[in-house]
Amino acid sequence: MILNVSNLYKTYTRRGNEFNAVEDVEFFAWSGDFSVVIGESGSGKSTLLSLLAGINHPTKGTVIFNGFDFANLSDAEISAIRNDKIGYVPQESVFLPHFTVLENILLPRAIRDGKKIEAYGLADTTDIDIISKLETLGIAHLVNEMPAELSGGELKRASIVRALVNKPDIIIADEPTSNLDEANGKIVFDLLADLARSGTSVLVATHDPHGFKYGDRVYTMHKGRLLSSGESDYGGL
Amino acid sequence: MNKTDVNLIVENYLRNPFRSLGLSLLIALLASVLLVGGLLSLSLSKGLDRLSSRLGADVIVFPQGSEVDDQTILLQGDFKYAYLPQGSLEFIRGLDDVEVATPQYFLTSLSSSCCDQKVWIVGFDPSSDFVIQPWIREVFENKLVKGTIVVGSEISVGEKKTIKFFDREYPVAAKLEPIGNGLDQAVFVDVATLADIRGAAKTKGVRFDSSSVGYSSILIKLRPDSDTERLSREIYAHFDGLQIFSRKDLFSGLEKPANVMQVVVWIVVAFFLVIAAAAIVISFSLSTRERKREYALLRILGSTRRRLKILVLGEAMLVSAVGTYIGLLFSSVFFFTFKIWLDEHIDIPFIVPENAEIAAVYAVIILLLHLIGPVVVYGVANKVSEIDAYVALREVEH
Repeated sequence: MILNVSNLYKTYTRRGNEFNAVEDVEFFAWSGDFSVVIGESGSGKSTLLSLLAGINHPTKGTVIFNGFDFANLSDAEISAIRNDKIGYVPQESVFLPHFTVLENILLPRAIRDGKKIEAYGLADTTDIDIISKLETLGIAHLVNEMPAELSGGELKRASIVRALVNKPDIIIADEPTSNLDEANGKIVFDLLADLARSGTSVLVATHDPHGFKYGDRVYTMHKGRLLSSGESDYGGL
Repeated sequence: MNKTDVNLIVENYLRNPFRSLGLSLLIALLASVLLVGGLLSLSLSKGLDRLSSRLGADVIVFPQGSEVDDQTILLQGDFKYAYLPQGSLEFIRGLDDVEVATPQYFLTSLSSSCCDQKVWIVGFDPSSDFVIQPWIREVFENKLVKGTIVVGSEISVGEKKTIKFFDREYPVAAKLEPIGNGLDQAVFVDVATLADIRGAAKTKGVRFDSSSVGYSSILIKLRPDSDTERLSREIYAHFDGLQIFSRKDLFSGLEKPANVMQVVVWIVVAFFLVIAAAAIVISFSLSTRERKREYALLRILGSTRRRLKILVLGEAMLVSAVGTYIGLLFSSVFFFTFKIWLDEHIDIPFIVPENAEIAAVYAVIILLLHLIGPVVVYGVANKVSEIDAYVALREVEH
């Protein structure tokens, strides 16, 4: 089991009133899982994903990743897991503006190895087949551009490739197809499905109706609670 | 700090060259003020220390007509043709408070072969001298033989190592360490050699006035627990036409302007320090706020909180380092170009420090200024390291 989440809460205070953005969530993920979380805006999807990625701290409950309880790990240990084992795709694409797209994509590896970012060339990417993923997503020709030169959709696809660069055990993607047209959205979901097929656990929060059918488990988030929706019609992978 | 950190730090520095260079130039100003102030301060301290050790005497007696004041005696070596009354040396030696008293004789030569400017010849009595000889012994261990001379640090000596006075050549036995005043342009001889120079002058037709057989000054070393005031009263009671200075009198006139100068230097340093520190803090606070998403991204991609802190501190150190080296480069050129001018125009003893001391000043400035950036932005770095990546991203998104 990659992720074992139980009794998870995240409480915020808004105008003096406490509310649970995430409430009593139970969740499990195994290798090769493709889990999809749907739900209206403000239902707590992004908060849940940030908690599972170790970016956010729960108010209560446990997140156990590969047998390690996040609560018992130091910042350095959680950061190392986030760097190497978790590929997180944030809802908004954020890039370092003064590095090329390729350098941004390879940033997780530079952080892991402590190497100069420019030291990596495309030759360094072959072990994880980044080139083919860039080609699959239609952005291979853009790798030497600066992020400001790319459209929102292109940046979104680049941030997906960046999440894959260290061959993580799990991909956690928050709205990976926002800013994408239907065709490109399908390409992204197909890529994620391929990853799941090869053993990577995939967890996606999405509004995209096409995304539902890729999940072998689909959840609905409603007012902070994660409700199981059962198997999807697509039949999983 | 690994290569990724260095890479990010350098890129962040270069991405906003106006801001980075502006801050670096402030540090450069601070470095310049520190270097020039530090070297000036050290030079003054060295000048005063050297002068104090060279003076050697507790009390100095000068002729009234010499019109010397407490500063020109020491600073300019501007000795005049005036001589102490006959019998004054013997009287002073007989006083209870006096341990040793030794005479000195001053002549001037406008026609020596060594210098373009006036050269002072200071004669001393080797049998009683306790001032000049210890000083000479620092660079020349042997006893001075008749006819040989010792020169101040600014007297140029040719390959023959001789100096010609009134067409007679005198071998130079040694050159003294700098003192930082007019004595650096003086020549030191014992009384026998002085008499020889007088003879040479006479054969050239140069005549000293009739009183020139007298002493130009008497240097006195006091017994322990002796009273300078009482000594002065006793001497004044027996002789007219002289003036008496204690070491304290002489140095109080020098220390005051030197202290004022040092205070001014350190006020200027403090001013630039505050300005530079405030500018760095404000600038880093603003820029880290602008780059919140980038720090959040680095957190998401696996940077630790410590790494984020290193990035901010490292960039502050880079700003400081660039400024420090720019400042040191320009202020070094300024200081060493104008050192001769300063030497001539500053009215207090001034000795440029040794290379090792200069290197130490540089090392201290480099160390201090490399640290100033990281120290003043430490709070900002802490704030960045505590960034909530999830909130930071959402704040901008929504």
